[in-house]
Amino acid sequence: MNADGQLYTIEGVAASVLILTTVYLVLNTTTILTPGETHIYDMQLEQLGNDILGTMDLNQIWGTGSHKYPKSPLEKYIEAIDTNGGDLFKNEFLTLSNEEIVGNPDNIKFTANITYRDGPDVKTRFFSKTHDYNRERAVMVTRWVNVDGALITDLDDRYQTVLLEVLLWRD
Amino acid sequence: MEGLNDDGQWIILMAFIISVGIFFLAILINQSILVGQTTSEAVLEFPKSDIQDLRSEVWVLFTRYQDDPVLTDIIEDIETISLTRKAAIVDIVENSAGPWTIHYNNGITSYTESITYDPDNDYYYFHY
Repeated sequence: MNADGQLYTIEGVAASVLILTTVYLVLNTTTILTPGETHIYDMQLEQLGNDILGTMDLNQIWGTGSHKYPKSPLEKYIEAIDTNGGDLFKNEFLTLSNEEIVGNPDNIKFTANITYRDGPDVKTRFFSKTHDYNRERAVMVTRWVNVDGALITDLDDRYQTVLLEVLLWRD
Repeated sequence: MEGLNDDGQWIILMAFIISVGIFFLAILINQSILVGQTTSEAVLEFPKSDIQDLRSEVWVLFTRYQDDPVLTDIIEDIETISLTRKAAIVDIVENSAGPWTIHYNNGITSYTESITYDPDNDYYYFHY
């Protein structure tokens, strides 16, 4: 029996292992960012932002009687927009967004506005920010917040719902 | 075939098998990128958070302002701001006794819901 071919088989297998290992190593050393993959980061950041706003808009105590739904922290922050509400919002937001189990804190940055209705007009007013927005790649998260307009200058003296818009990014 | 050296055939055959293997892996990588893109685009496009937010806000309005005249103004707030800032048509129909109705349409996704709130209990139930 002529077994000369065996040698070539072994060589072929060895060569294929070598080539596959090389390809694997090369593909792993360079991460190519395609537009598709950046969408995934946007999606995660958007979900994180919405979760944070949802958490802040939950009242911590469930009331009784006609005041079943007491004011949430987020509502109190916006009602204090003329004084220190923006700072309180910023601290709370960063506490919630930068919590990590291990490693360094996250570096989320944001700028937030509120939008309210004034008669037939819709107006926007600055609320809070960590940094100025300079066209970084950002996502927008929003939350309806029910506030007492009497506590805020510029707003009508009535209970009303404003839209909180937070522009969120990492860099 | 006397005198013909056909040892090289093995090398060619192995090279062929390897190239098929690499080609197959390349297709897999290509597919995974495509899957990630279409999935995350679909998730970003679908206004899940908008609808969740709207539902929870309507629930807040119900618990606070049921049968209160200010409710009309607040609903007007949501409908107007929605149209200008989110390009979505929202229509909330309040009801002092029966179910409330929420309509939402942003041109791509349309959503309608009828919710019956129970003021005596801390929960609400709904039907589509």
